[in-house]
Amino acid sequence: MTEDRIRPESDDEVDSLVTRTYREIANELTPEHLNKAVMQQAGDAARPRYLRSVSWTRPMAWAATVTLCVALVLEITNAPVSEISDVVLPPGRLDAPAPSATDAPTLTSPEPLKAEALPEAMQEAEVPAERKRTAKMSKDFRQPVAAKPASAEEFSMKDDDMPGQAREIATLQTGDTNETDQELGARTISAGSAEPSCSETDVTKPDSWLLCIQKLEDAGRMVEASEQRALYDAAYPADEPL
Amino acid sequence: MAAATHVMTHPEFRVPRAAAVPYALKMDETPEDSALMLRYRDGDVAAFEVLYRRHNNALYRYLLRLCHHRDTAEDIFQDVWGKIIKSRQNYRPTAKFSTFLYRVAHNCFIDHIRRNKRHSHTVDIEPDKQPDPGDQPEALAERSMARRRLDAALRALPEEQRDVFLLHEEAGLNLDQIASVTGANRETAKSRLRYAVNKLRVAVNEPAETS
Repeated sequence: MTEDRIRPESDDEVDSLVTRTYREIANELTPEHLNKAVMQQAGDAARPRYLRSVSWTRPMAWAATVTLCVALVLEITNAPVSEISDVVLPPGRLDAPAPSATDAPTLTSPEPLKAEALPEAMQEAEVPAERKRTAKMSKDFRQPVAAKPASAEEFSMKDDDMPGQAREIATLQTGDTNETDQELGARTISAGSAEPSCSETDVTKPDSWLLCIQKLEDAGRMVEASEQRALYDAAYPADEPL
Repeated sequence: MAAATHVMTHPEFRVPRAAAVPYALKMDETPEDSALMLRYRDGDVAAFEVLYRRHNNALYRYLLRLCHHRDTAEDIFQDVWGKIIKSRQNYRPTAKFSTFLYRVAHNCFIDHIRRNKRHSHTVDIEPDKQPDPGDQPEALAERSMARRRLDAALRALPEEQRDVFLLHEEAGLNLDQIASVTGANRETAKSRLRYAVNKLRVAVNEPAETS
């Protein structure tokens, strides 16, 4: 019979036969699933609150981490190229070709050059919108942004080398459907190798001007170097070249 | 026993934890229900398991006989233990634990009746599951009939009388404790118990022919 039954403390009220008969019929035991449920509930309640939360926070943290990683990867992969609109373009050589010797003003005094005397391209500080849009494309090539090249000889990139996405974006943004892919790619790529000729600050001092000319020669830009040297000779006729 | 108690209380053999926990148990005595409950309040789940195993079957039978419906009894059973677990932080051993437990059970049953006005009296418990194999067939038959009559009489009792009888038989509560659980005074509880026992005695002693 059931050993867990507690004996009444005052048994005088209950007939012994009734008690005996009742105990014969009342022999049910608690179902095991109820025992497990109650013990589970008791165990959960006794656990500290911060441990109780672990059961759901851990998977939640993993899910959040994975979601963030996937979102980050997708963001990097499909990032719009317009995010690099703040690319600093070097002054000059954006639209106009390099100044030729005939265009250059003749300097007759060793005074610093005035702004009006410099080539028009060197005065331009504001980059045209179209050039900026083109510059945005260069993010895919991971190269510095520069201006449109002076000639088609500077093109070094083939049609196949340019990613299709960049081509498409360039076409959409410029709206210039007549512009060939070759021109577009060249404008983007050649900017990396081009450097401006001697700037306004370079030509203010003879040493820096000569250094600039030397740099142009080292870079193989002989035409520009000779132009600058002619200007230098006109400005400082007595000095010896480097 | 006295020697063992002396050894246990000797300063050299005293367990340091006993001083910190006033309800800590001596090794040679059965833990009181209230001490187990207090240990569970402090996070000892094993103490709760001992307490639960001590009372689970009696409480289950009490609810089963009170409801006469297995699913309802199981629902109330879980509800009762859930309340005991939730109230562990506020538990104070001012009364016997079984009084506290059956008061919660009684209140849960009353709440259940109030929630379900159409209280079903569906009987799905079988009183004769295991007949005693040592008896003669006639005696077995007579005992079986007596059990059936008692079960029927128990079901036919008014709810208050059945409640008092079950609290006396299953929980082992005395009249004062029954009065405390049911919210009635002692004389009322005594009267209800007497009426219930008389009816059940008549049913058990009833001749087989009349049943």
